[in-house]
Amino acid sequence: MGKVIELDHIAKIEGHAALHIKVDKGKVESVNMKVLEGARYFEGILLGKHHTDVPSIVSRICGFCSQIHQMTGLKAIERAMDIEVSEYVEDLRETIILGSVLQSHALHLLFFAMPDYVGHESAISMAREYPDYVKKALQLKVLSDNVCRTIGGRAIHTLTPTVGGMNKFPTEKDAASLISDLEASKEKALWLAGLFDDIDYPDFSRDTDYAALVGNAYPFLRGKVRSSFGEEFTDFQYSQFIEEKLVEGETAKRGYWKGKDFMVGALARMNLNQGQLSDSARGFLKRAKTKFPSASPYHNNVAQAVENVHVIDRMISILGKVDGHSEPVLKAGRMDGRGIAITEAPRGSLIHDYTVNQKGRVESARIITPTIQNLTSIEKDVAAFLPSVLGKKEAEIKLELEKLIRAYDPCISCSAHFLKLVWE
Amino acid sequence: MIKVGVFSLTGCDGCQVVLLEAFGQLLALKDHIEFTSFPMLKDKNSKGPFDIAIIEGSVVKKDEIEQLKRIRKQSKVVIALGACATHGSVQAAKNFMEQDKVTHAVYPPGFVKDSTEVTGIGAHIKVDYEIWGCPPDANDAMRLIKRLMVGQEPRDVDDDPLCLECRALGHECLLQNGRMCLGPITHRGCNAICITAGDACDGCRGFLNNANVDALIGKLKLMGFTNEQIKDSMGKYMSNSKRTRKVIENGESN
Repeated sequence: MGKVIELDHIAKIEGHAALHIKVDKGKVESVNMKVLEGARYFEGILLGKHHTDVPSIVSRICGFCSQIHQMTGLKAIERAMDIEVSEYVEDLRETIILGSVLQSHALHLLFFAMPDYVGHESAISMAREYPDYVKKALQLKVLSDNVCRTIGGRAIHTLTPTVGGMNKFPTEKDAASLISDLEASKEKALWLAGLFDDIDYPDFSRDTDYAALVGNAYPFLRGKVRSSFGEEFTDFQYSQFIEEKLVEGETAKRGYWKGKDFMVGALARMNLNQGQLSDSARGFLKRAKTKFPSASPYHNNVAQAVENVHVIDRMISILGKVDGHSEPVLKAGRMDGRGIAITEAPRGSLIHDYTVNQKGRVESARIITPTIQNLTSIEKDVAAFLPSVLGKKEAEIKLELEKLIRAYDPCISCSAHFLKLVWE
Repeated sequence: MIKVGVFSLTGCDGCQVVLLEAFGQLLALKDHIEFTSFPMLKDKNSKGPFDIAIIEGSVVKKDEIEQLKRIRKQSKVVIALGACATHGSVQAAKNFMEQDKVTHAVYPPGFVKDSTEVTGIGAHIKVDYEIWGCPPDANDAMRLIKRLMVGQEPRDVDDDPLCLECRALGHECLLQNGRMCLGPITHRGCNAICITAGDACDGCRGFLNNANVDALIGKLKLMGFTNEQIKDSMGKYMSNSKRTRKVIENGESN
């Protein structure tokens, strides 16, 4: 008799997803991660929209990573319209993205991941036993909100970045106040990284490929995509490497690297770029128990926590350049064209691809999110991991599987704008 | 102890992120409020009953309507949190586009079977209170929760335009400077956050009941804006509004 394990709603992730597993005589027959979020048709909605509205619309794909959707949309549209913003504008935009990485990682680590490892069902119940821990970790989240608010105008769905530049520029005083907050918080980021490094994660790893942007610095907004087996591509080549497949009977689009599953996200970035980390992040890694490159998906938690240290350092260094001047918004060099941008969202590589017509309106849109690229890898991890826990009680098996899935920090709203699974 | 459930239909989940902006405040109320259901944050989630249900996201598929009815039955008070839940927001733009064109941009024909008209939750259940905005403001949410907690009837919402706040802040009027702005017809309460950040108002908090939309449209046309440009702004968050629909149906000729 076959056995079916069903997690009909995976708690503590962004969005709604379920997991269906079939096991027969101790062998895993199938693993299927189901996205329950309704279809949102973002690529459809964007058709005919004016190019200047694209960034604020795509921001609404995801409340956990609104800023990187907005910025990736912005970069792609600016490429289509032949606009090149100044280095100063790029720096300010990068600060918003670094703040959003800290925001997203802090949300995941504090609210989703940590309760699993201290035997609590939520950060709320955890706060009763560990009030100081929760308070301290929350300060990193508050700090990230402040960065996005000060430079971006709002904590999420930021307002200042606009096609051709920035609507508003920070003052020297704004920057100085953020720098002092960031400096005061570095110790907290190191402390949190220490906590996640200390955890005894399940002894599980699976040989897979990792992909992330690589470049002259630890990359979020610039660079080319490289895989851990050494293949590389730049923006315009993405469709030769990353393909999406609709699977019959599964109704999900999934991303593959030339037909193979792979992993993107903080772990992939760390595996490919750890040499580019800030001094204190590298210093931390020297002392850490966790070693990168790693093939354990659980180490994605540690990678995120180490990235927190790095992004704080990087923000301090960029904000030091803020001199309070402002710049006019640049005009489009042409009215129509195609623009592609690839960035690193908190959860991994993100691709936006637009064609704009002569009226300056969107003719076609394609968006490939990190979670789409990770779905197959998650399922393969679950299939490989499951035998080691099959002997346990069902509730324990479910918790172990959820821990594994949560380590990926999947972002279901992001997937659902074009990935939709029919209810059974 | 007040039992609160936080639920999410289809959207970006940003409204829940906004609630977490106020997590410190929520923790401080732990002796008074218990989140008995909050699937984004908790493993153990009750099916009810709830004193307060906070619902974010819009309805995009049929089974969400059933889910809403279940929540309503279990809840004394229902709060719609954010523009998706109050009006349908950005994803509702699909309602007024050529359906095949929108869906085929994403899926092959016949692929998605359970899609429905994109609406706020008030189209399907009784909503007691609305918290406006995309994103909503954490302080608005906390103020309402605290008032309900102490049994104080929340104040009637005023029907005043954003312009009141915007001018009080000393911002120059965008309309007077030739820029598109929906401030005169949009609910205030956001402290003109977009205008402060150098952007314009696209009406995410919803249009006033007594809004003189025709006058604003007339003004915008005099300023040289086309029907399509007005539609871009009014249709961004408020495509479900009858007033926006009128602009959309008027087409390019006007």
